[in-house]
Amino acid sequence: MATSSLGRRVWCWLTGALLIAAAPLASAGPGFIDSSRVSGDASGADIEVAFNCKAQYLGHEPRGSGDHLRIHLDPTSICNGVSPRVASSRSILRPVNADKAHLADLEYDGDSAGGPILTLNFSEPVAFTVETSGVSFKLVVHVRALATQAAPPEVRPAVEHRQVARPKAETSDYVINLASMQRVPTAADASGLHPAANQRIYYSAAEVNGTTWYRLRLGDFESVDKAVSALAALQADFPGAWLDQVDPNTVDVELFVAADQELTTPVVQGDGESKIDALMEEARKAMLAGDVSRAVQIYTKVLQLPEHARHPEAQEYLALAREKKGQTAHAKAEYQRYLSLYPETEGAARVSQRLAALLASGRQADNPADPSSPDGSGRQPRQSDWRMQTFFSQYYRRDSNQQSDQEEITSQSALYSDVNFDARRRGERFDFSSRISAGYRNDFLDQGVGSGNETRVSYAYADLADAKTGLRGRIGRQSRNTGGVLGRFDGLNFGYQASERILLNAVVGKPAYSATDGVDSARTFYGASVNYGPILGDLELGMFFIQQDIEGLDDRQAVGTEFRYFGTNQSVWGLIDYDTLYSELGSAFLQASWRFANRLTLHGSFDRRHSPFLSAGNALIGQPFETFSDLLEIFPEDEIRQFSIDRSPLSTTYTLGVSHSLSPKLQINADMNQTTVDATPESGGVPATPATTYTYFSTSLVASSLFKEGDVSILGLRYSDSDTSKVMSLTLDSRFPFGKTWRVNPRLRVDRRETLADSSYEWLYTPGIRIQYRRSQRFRVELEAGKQFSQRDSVGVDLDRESFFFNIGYQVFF
Amino acid sequence: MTAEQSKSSLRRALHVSAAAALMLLCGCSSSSSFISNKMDPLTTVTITYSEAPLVFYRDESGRAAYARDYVHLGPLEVNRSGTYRYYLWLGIWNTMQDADAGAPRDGFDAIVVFADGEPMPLEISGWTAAAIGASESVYIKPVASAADAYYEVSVDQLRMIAEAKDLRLQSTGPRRESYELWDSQAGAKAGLVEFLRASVY
Repeated sequence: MATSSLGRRVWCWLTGALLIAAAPLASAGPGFIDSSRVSGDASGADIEVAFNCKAQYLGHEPRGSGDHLRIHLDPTSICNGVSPRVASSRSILRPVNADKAHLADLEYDGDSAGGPILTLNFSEPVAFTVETSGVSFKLVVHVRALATQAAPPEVRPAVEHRQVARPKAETSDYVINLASMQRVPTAADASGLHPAANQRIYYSAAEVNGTTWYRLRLGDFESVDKAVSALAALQADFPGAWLDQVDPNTVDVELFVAADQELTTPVVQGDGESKIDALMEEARKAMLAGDVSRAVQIYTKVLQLPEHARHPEAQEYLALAREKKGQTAHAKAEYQRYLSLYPETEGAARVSQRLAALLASGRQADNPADPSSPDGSGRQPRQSDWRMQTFFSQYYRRDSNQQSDQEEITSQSALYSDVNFDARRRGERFDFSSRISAGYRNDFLDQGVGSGNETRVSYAYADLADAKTGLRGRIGRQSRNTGGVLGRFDGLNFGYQASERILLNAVVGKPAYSATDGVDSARTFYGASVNYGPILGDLELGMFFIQQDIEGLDDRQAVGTEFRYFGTNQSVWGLIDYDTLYSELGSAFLQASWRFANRLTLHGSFDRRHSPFLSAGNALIGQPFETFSDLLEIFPEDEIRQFSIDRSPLSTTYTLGVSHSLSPKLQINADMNQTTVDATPESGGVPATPATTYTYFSTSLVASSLFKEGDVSILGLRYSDSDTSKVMSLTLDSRFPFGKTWRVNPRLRVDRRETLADSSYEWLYTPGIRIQYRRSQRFRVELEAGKQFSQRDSVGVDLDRESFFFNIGYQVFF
Repeated sequence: MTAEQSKSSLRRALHVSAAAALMLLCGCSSSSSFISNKMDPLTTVTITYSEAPLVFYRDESGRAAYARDYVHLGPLEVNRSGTYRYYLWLGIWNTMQDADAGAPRDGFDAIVVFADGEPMPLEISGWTAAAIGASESVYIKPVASAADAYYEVSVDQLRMIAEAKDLRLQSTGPRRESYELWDSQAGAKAGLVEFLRASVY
């Protein structure tokens, strides 16, 4: 077919265009520097250097001017499609238009003795200032010819925060901020430090956001190189340490620190419990003082004592101390030891998460061999890099109802079992993950009465990401909701992070609209999309093309765009899907919120779409045929395409709402919604359907901590008006926590329904309760039960009904 | 529709798309920060947050082809007189609003966030801003009927979420439902990372 071949040509065109667009972006190759750009002219230019990993600016030298500029950086492990190890690489490059900034070259040395350093070599002395935003993917150097040098602008980090390193006024000396605390530091806080003869340990006070912080400091260093070297050596014991310049305006209080202290707490003789408590207290103090080596020593000693109730705590803190010390492999081993020895304790979930965070941070790869490893070889202990998690739940549900005095009928009696399995292996270059999410319904009712047994497969995919190239592929049953893909499908999704802001995607597959029905073998789709952002603050944009065939014919062909913006007081989200096959708007969705003063927010949305989505396959709706081919034998293609439009009426929804915080504990929300669905004509033997309109007005009052701390109560009122009925609903819903393990949620709903056809009224009362019990973070039991009584006021007929349901089940993961 | 008409409309659409793509690729850029600070005027706590929350979704095709449940997720740092606590804010809403005003909260008394497959069970701290000591949410609710929910988290948990390449969220209870991350949220992810860096260091 013409449109089909045209679609294939468009696909080729788009693929080619995307590859061409991607080529120059990819050519930079993996390294710490992603790209560099010079703009301006010889009298004043900006050099922008983009990194592949976020880095913290530590300082630069010389100050003001020179024929070279050395910028000290602290790269993080947060990278865009490359391994964090690129931070240790070396590279030299010369940007296009480098002459405009008198720039000879840019040199990055991640292996420098003084820490990673970016050097800009100029062809002649220039004046410069460095603009940075604390931790960033980029850095800008403003360069001016010396003769026309303007006053340097104030350097201001984008992030104002209590502990973000920020450049200060120029002085010749540097200090290391070891720790910040809200009490006056003592000599014990700096125990184990050995300042040089010309150095001092002191503290000064600073007011930050109304809070007084005492800054424990080591100084002074005459050059930033020396300070950076010292900082690197100290970060094992003072992980939050950062570099600063001496501020002559502060009042410094010097501390006198003794040499390495021995274990000072006298060991309590006799009573073993007191002895352990004393050791634990000593270790806690050591941790607080940042003396993690000593803490490791004490916790190890505690664990060598006979088993005790505080051993899990000591084991956890030993792992934590190892982690703080930078001994990642040891820390992992200690966390794993905790999980094997104390899997059922309250701390197990916490430890598991710390371990996972440690594995995720990839620090192991970055750490040099640990000379204190148990075998003395300096090699890290070999451990599996696989992580596997299983989530399992089972719920039994029973529904029954009874009309008037008739026999009770059970409409559902089934056990729902669900399992989710995740496996992951993170490597230096390749990151593999897979997921299976499936469920089974075991129906206990007789055949023909119940819904029958059923297997669901929601997800079953394998995913491989290459950190070096930025490529990623996912194959199997998966889900997407952008790029024109309408939910679940079986196929391949291929992504390429071309740069920090550009993501390219290609997808091919078969729809699997229902997790129980399997694949729609008649349909095949392929598509491509590009996402760009964030730009202009927090705006993100996406565009796509998608082509779907059904039994060899064009089923759906669309282009579209998505945009999303979240500002401080506004948010806007829009989606447009234009069907090029039918030259019709497939879907347009716009949602916006605007917050005003006085804690008032207005909300609005507009949603217009063909429902179901425009596709040739819709022509089968209402027809006695099984396949599209059968339909083609009876009707010509043009007529079938008209049928598909006839079966896809336009649905339009408007929503307008307002929410207002009356007080910290009281909030009111109100909204109105109107949905209209257009009429459909009679065609192809399928009868016409009339237009429908549905309108509702809703308001709710949400109050927290009304009866006890942590509770919430919701009072809701709603009026809905459709072509067949009018319903007024009142809802009362309260949730009460009891301790850390129990939650109780009583609820009541009352509806008054007026059926327009016979002007009858029906009252429905639905009380219910939910109870949850949490035995541990990994195991939870829940019960939900409810009953509905309905009384219908109809001429001469008793239509009272009762129905009852309950759910009981558990969920666990391991 | 004839093939010529289809071809012509497709060409027009491609022209529009190409023009828009060129606009996109023409170097619009920004170095703005993704996080903000706000001092609550009534309770005087200082709240740091990421401006763009992450969006999760779940198709509800059983109710309508286009029906979806959404969850917005944003990090919060609350500074009360120098004591820092960390929370996740969730904005829970649906394109098909339930007549039962409490229904959006069902299953969210406890949630599980999966970061690269690693489960993080979280318990609700409260359903209004009072749970974090604030008088109003710093995040904008997407619709009036959306339910706010707050969960206390540790810095480690935030770090896992910020660094995860694969995130999803699961409610609990009999109707345990899985929410997938909406694609391509570079701004929201960058905000999370920046929030983490600003909070921890």
